[in-house]
Amino acid sequence: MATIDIVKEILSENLDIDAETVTPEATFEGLGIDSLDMVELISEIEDRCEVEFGEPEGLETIEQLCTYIDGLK
Amino acid sequence: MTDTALGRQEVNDLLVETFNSILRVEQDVLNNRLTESLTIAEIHTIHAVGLHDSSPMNVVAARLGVTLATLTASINKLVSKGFVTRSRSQADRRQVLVSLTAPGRSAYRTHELFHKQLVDAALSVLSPEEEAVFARSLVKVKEFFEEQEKRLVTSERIAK
Repeated sequence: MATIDIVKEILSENLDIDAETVTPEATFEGLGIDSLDMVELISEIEDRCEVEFGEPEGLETIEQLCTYIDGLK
Repeated sequence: MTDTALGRQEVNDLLVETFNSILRVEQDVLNNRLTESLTIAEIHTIHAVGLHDSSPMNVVAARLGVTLATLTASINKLVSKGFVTRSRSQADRRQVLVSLTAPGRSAYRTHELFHKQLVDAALSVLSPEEEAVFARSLVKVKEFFEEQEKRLVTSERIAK
C-alpha cells in the first residue's frame, strides 16, 4: 500500500478526517490536525510502516510527511 | 532576620511552589484523550521504558530508582491498559523486556510535548541573557540535588 493511502486510512479511522480531503498538497493546519493528533498519527504510522519516527522539522503537508516516511524505510 | 536569610526563605518558597505548580499543571495538561487514563507516575514509567527501546525490567527499575517489585506492579497496570507490552529477550529467554505500544508511544510523546511547551512558555518572559543565567544557575542547583540523591541511595544500601 502506498504511504499516502496508509496516512489516509489512519486519519480517517483515528481522527475522523474525510480521506477525500487528504491530498498531497493538503496541510496539517488545513485538515485541522493539532499537535495531539500529530502525536497519534506518528505512533500509528510507526506500527503500520514499521519505521521509527524521529523529530523532523518543518513538515507542513501530507506530501512532505509521506516523503519523510519513505526516507525512513 | 538578615536580608540574605529573608531572600533564601523566599527562594525556598519559590522552589517548593514552582515544583508543586509544575505537577498541578502537568496533571491538568495530561488530562487529554491520549493520556487521560494515566497517572503522572505511570507517565514517568512510560518515559523510563523508552520511546523505541526494548528494555530489561531491572534497567527500567534503575532508571526510576524503584525496586523490581514496585516496577512489576506498575508495568502490570500499564500492560492491562494497553500502553506497554512484554516480550522475552532473544539472547536470554529468562530475561523479560518491556516496550511501548502505539498508545504508549503517543503518551510518551504527549508528555514530551507538554514539557517542551511548558519550558518554551515559562522562559518566554526572560531575555536571552536572563535565560542563560537561569540555565547556568539551574545546572548548579541540580548538581547539588543529584549529590543529595546519591548520598540517600548510599545510606539506604548501608541500612539494608
